[in-house]
Amino acid sequence: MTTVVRRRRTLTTWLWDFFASIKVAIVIIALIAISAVIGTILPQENFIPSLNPGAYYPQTYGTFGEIYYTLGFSHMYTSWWFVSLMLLLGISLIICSLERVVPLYKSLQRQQIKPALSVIQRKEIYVPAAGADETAVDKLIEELTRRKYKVRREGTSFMAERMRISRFGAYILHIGLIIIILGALSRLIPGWYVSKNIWVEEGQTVSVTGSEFFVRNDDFIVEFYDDGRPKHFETKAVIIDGGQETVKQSIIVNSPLKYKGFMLFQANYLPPMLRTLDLELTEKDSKQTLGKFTMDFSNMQTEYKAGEYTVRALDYFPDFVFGNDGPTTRSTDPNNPVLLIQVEGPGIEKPLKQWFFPLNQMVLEQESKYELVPFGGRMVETTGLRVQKDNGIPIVYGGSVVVLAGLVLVFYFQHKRIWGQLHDGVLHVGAHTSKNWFGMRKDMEKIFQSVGMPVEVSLNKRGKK
Amino acid sequence: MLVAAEWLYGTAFFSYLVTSILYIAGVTGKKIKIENGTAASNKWTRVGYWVAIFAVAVQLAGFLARWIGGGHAPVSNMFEYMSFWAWAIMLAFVVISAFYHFPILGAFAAPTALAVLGYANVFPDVNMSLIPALKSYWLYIHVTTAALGEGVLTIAFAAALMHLLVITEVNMPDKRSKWLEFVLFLFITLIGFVFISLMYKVQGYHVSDPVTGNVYKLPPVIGSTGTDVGSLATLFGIPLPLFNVPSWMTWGKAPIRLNTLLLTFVVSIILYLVLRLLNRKPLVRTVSAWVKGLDAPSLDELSYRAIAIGYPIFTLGAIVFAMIWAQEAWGSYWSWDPKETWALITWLYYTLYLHLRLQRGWEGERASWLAVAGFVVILFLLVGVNFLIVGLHAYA
Ligand code: HEM
Repeated sequence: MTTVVRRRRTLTTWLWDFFASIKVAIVIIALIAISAVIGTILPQENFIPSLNPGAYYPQTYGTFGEIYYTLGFSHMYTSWWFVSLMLLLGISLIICSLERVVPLYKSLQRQQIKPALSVIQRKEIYVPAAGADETAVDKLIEELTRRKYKVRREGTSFMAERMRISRFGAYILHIGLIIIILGALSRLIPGWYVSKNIWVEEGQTVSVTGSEFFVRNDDFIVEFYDDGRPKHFETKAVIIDGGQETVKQSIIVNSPLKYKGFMLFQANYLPPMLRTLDLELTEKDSKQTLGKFTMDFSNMQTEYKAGEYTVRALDYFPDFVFGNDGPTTRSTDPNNPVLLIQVEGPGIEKPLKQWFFPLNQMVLEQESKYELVPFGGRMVETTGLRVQKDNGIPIVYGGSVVVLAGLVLVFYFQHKRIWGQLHDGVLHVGAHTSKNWFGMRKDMEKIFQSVGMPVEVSLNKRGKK
Repeated sequence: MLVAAEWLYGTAFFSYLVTSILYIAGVTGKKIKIENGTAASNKWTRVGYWVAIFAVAVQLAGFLARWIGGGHAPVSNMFEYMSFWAWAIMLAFVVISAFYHFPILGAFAAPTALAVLGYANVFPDVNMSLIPALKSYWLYIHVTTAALGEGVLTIAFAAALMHLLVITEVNMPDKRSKWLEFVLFLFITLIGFVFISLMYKVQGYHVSDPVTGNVYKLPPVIGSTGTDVGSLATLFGIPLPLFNVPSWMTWGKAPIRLNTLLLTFVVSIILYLVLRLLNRKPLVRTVSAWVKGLDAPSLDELSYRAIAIGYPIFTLGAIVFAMIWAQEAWGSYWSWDPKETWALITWLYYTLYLHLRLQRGWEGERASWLAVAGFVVILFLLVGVNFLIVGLHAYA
């Protein structure tokens, strides 16, 4: 009578077994790869030139684009299922390593120096060397030791082993992957991750997002090749920390400014924009100048003194458009400044409202006897800097080093084991390796050659199914 | 310097061709002896090996000359990058052959490298000054290391193909030999594409479409919507285009690409049929005769070894160095740009290969099919992404 002992499958053991399975890991990795492929069919939302993806995808790619957007493929790598797959991968990595590494360690600790002869005879590499005696065993052991094998001996039997750690390479590499995943997740810790674009005009000082210091743009330089492709971008930047100028450095693409864990990258620029305008107040008919003043578009006033006269700004539209409800502004940048002004001063009893178009975009018949005539001004360029801070970077890099070390251990070194037993004048030698049977075969041939017992080594039954 | 570089690259191309011919000649007929599953090298393959070493050295010299002459490492456009990949394949072949004695491998690896180098030459070989984002040492390190990894993985493809040819009963017209014949056909397609592209490139052929402004580098058999049929050019007296793309295919260069695809296909089919007629039996039977008698498990092991060597290099170059470069250049080590994502996909693909091999039943035949398909994945990573998907890396 036999009784079937069934392990009671509680939910935890079921989950544990699930995540410990290589088959499941294969499915998870395949799903991640397939999702990644789908995510590259159309540009992701952060790469499209539109702020309204819901409209952009159907417009640009038709029905396919609409479906793509609706299913959430347009932000694949932040979608809940993609992130979940990554988490599942992480869990799987942890559990499957735990599941295997301890038994592996134990079994390597418990190896027998003298297994049954039939075990040696069944090894993939097996050489029976006839006409051998104890001195042959001694010589072989000496040679193996010279070749950096660790040899343990029991009478005329021995077991030689080298690079056992190679067997742990895969787990070291999996731990590295876990570290990388943790490093990437560390962005979720408040204050650990900042990624923001800031615009800094020439001459302007701007607070660096997420930090206590400021950056000033002393000059911005852009150069082009003859064919119009960009050649060089550079911001002459100054860091101002606690009121002190602490760092002065040019920021170039590929060469960011690093300060207190933050990095400032050259990321973008805006073409020249109007900064100040020198104006003359004149009387239309007599062309007589009544006064002069300067208007600073980064610091607009409600009134300006021009000689004995006052120019009062009643309304200001930095980026003027004529909307449905009358005049309005598109942005706060002075791309198309328009003012509603009135001139007050000696001899003016009832000031008249009038429009002022500094860039002369429009000529209006206006009742007022006065006009503002620009005679100078200053344009400035604006640099776009990316403020980047990621405390997880050292973790990710560290994890990468661990992964690479693991890979080297797995693939460029092999765990090699050689057993030998003397029985009735025949030295039975068996060998096993975790990888690289070519190498093992060659090794064996060389070893036997060095001790004066040349043999031809072939693989036993590997692959001959 | 740049002229010298051109000469050196030309010499390398020629040497690739000679290597391929020597190896193929060396493994056909009765010249090669296969005993106990291993093949002995002969005069042909020995000379072929030396020419391969010469090719690697000459192209390296050309690479350095172009570097000095151009002022930056020549891995910044498609021509330069694909040439480097071809070089990496040749180098991997030379190095691996020094350790593992498989003279027949050259008959597969060298033509593959030759096809890739030919493909590189389809792209304009201009020496462009760099846009700011590409001026970085990390970029050179990243690109060259990644290409070395891809070169070794390509050797895995060649060995896997040999393995499949050995284990497949090609005289049976079953599914497997049909698929292998298809793989050979795909290879011919690659050659066909390189052949017509180079033929017209040498002539400086180009026809521009006055309606859309599209420039055709091959005879425009297919025109854009709105172009009059027969208004662009003639081929053997036939006015072109013969017809236009359907009206929904309006985006960008779709007509040009479709045209290239069609011509490639036509030329490849002709090329294939000619070879097939000359051969008087499926090509796969001839090619499998080259490897007949080789030890199948050794070839499987060789293919696996190549992946085992190439995978860490690819990880280092295409993933880790890419992250460092992106961090230095863009401020973020990972931004899911399409090229980056495809490098990850390729990496995951080979990760799957390695884990599947841990499963029972996935060594041998199935693993070899995966390694063969891996070549297509790499080809897509290097070329397909640039043509079908554009991102930060747009080299072309
Ligand atoms: C992206 C994720 C992963 C990568 C890049 C990766 C990479 C690797 C590599 C390179 C090897 C060595 C293969 C060989 O020896 O031929 C390996 C082995 C292995 N992996 Fe993974 N792996 C990943 C995820 C996982 C997961 C989630 C599991 C969980 C089931 C897993 C289970 C294993 C096992 C059991 C081995 C064999 C270890 C041994 O040699 O004893 N891997 N992995």
